[in-house]
Amino acid sequence: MSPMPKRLLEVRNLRIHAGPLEVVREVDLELRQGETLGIIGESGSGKTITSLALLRLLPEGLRAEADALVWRDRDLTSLSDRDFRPWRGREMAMVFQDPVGSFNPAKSIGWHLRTALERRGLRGAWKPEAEQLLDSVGIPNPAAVLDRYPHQLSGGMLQRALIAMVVALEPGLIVADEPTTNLDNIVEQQILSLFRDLRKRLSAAFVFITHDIGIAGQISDRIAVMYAGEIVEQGPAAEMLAAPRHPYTRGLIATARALAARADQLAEIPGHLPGPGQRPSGCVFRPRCAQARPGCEAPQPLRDIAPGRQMRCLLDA
Amino acid sequence: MGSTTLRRGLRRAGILLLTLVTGALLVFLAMKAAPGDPALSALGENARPELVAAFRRDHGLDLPLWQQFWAWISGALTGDFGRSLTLAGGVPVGSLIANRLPVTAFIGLYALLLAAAISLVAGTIAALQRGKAADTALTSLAVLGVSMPDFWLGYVLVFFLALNFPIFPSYGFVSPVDSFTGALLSGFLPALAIAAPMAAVFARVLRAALLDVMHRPYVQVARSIGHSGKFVFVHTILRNALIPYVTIIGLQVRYLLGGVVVIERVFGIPGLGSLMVDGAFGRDYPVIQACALTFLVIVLMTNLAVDLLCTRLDPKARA
Repeated sequence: MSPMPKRLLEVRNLRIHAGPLEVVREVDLELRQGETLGIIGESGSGKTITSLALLRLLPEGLRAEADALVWRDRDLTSLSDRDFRPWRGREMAMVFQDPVGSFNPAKSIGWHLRTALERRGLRGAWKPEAEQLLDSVGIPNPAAVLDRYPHQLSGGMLQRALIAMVVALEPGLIVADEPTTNLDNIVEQQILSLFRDLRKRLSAAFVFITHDIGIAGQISDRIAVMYAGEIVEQGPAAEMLAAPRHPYTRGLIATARALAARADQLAEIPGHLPGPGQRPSGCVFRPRCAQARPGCEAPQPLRDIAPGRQMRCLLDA
Repeated sequence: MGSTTLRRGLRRAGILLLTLVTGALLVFLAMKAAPGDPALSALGENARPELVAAFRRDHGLDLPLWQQFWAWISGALTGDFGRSLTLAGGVPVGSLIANRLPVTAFIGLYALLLAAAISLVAGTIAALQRGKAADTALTSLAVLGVSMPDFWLGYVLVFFLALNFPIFPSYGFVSPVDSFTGALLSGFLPALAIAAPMAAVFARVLRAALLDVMHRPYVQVARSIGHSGKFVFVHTILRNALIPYVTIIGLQVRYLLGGVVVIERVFGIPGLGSLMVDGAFGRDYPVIQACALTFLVIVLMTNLAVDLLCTRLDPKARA
């Protein structure tokens, strides 16, 4: 076996509060160099704010705390926001959901790439590298695109350009938050294959956030499933897809298969995601779980169930 | 690309010319519709009929309306606005305008720059301190600023500032042609009186625009790249908030001129505004018409300048 790649990021017990409400709790994550972690969950499961918390980009009103947030052997929890700022972009960068809204409408694509390259420390001639970057993400006629303004490009082109900006920064970690949600199917497939290509080309680690377990399976080495602000199961992607253990993960996969097979009977999970204020005590999935049993009303820790695999459920415990 | 720019330029020039001619026609017709006979008010109610007839003939008042309009507008194009009926024994109106215009332009520009400077600072502070004491104080001040009539503010400023700090004269004006520093000092209070209500409007627009832009996703993207707070504010937040801000400044220029007319009266400044008011009291129609036309040209020119600036600021307007 080849030696394990170096650990890049370790998050221990991350929690996010909105006022008195705990919206994300007990999140532990680990990421190694070159690895891709898929975070799956429904809207409102806390996957996006978890990733925003990593970059300290939480919107006003949300506050994150963690026991440890170690980046390349350095604990960042003690850093002030001001001292953390240089880490953003250079070490960790993010691709957002809405490519059209991600661009400053008053500035050209060239300006966006130039300022990203300058952020990386490039001085002097930036155009050749900017053109090369656009070309590498599959944008035709890069020299002309540099002079374009955001409103003159399609969503798919803008998402490619945004990815080029992030690649320009040469960060160690690229967080992609549902980067294909607002794109149509064909463009979605193109952007996904671009991400697969980037994974091979770059040494960066990826966090890929999606609500689509199929996409997560295609692109990730490991998968973490989030439900109501908690990680309910995580482990190697192939194993998780082949043999999901947590009832919620099983439900997600059954739904995805039924959708893919265009089955008449959709294997839906009954009920709906509880809001942050209505989280049940004990196992948060209990009210929707077909296998709930005595004992589920106690809080469930994330426990090891196999090497590299954990879940928050007392089945098979 | 080049030909569309040219077409747009020509279109804009055409609209400008049409507005100018229509505006001039309205000014001319308004004067004709105004009550009172200029000949009688110049010669007196009991003037002999043959003198009145001679006055009408001399001033072309016996010609058909369209000929009178043509004579006025073609004269105006060459700088000949006729002669005043009341001032200094028939002095050419053109030279009156030429004397008064720099004074009014100076006061107007001074007020505009003051309003822009005040609102830029106040609007930014209010937006960055949203909901805190500074924001509440500035927002209240802005409500006060909008509600204060400028002539009243003018008197208040004279009362509190000019009488306590003699560097600001309470009355009279040094022309910028004679002494620029003198003009800056003597023009400060009148410019401030005009600027305060405008600054209040501008600051509120800027505050709202900044708060709107701050929550746009591209601001978060700029932060995620690790740009400094100053960079994000200047290039992303302020840069995009400037578009509505500059637009509102352009729209307010006509109120600025209204303010100039009143404030010149309050402070005894010999500008176009006081000339127009004097003309109105004396039924001196060549003076009124010429002043109105000059104001019209100023408004059209500023609108054009603001339009061009907005096009520079907003790539979507260039498309």
